[in-house]
Amino acid sequence: MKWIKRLFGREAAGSNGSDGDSGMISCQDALERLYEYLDKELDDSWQDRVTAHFDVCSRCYPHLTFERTFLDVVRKTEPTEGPPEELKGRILELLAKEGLEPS
Amino acid sequence: MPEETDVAEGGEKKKQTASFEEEALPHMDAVYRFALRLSGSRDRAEDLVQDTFFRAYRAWDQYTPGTRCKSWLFTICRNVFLRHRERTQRHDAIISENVPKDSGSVPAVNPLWSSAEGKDPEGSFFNSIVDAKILEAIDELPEEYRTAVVLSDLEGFSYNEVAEMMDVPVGTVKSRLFRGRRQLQKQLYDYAVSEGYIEER
Repeated sequence: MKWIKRLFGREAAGSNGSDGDSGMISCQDALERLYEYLDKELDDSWQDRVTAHFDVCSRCYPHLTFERTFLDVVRKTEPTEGPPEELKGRILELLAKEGLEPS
Repeated sequence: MPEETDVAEGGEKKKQTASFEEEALPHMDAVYRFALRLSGSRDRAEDLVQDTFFRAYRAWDQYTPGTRCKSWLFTICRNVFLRHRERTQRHDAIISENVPKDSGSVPAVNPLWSSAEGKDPEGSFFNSIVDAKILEAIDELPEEYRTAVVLSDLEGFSYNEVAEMMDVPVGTVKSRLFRGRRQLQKQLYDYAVSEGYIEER
C-alpha cells in the first residue's frame, strides 16, 4: 500500500495540512521547508518526509531544482581576492607590540 | 617568591602566544573575506581585520579552547564593524534599508520562479553569472541579510552557529536567510535579464 500512497501522494495529501499517519506532507509543508531541506537542517524524520514529497510531486519538484541550482552557484563562489601580504605583516607587528612572540 | 611567579607568567604567556598563533592567525584569510563582504571596501576591510586580531589577542584568555576559533573571530569582526557603523552613522536617521522586518508571513512559492518558469525553470541562468557579480549582489543586501547569507552560504556555518554569531534566535536566522536569498535571486535574475542570459517574457 505504501507505494500507492507515494504514487498518489499529492492527491492523498490534498493542498493543505498533512494527512496525518501516512507522513505524506502537503506542498505548503514541503515548500516552507525547502531551504532547511537543502541546508540539511531538518531532523531525519522531516528530511525523509520532504524527500518523499518531492519524489512524487511534479508541481513542487521544479522549485527544488531551481533553488538547488541557485544555492549551488552561491556556495561555490570563490572570493575574488585575499588579504594583501603587507596587512599580515602589519598585524604581526601590532601583535608583537602586545607581546606576541613569533615562533 | 617572585622568581617563580615570573617563570610561571612567562610560561603562560608563551603558551598563550603559541596557541594564538596556531589557532587564530590561520583564519586571517577567512576574516578578511568576511570583513570585505561586511564593509564593502578593501581599506575598511583591512582596518577591520587588524582591529579584529588586535581585540582577539587581548581577549584571548576569554576564548574557550576547543570551540570554533573561526566563529569567535567572525563574531568579534562583526561587532567591531557594527560598532564602527553605529559611530559613523549616529547622526543620520538610522537607515531604513538596513532594518529589515523579520515579521510577517512569507510566500512559500518563490514569486521569482513564476517569472522564470517557462523561460528557465531550472534556474540555469544562475550558472552564467560570474563570481564577482554574485559577490557584488551579496554586497548590496542589507547587513542583516548579507551577514546571514555570507556566514551560511559562503562560509558554511550551520543555522545554530550563525544564530550564535549574530546573537539572534535560530528562527530569525532562517527568516533572514530566506529573505536574503530571495532578494539575492531577484538581483541576479534582473542582472541575467539585462545581460540577455534569460529573456524577459
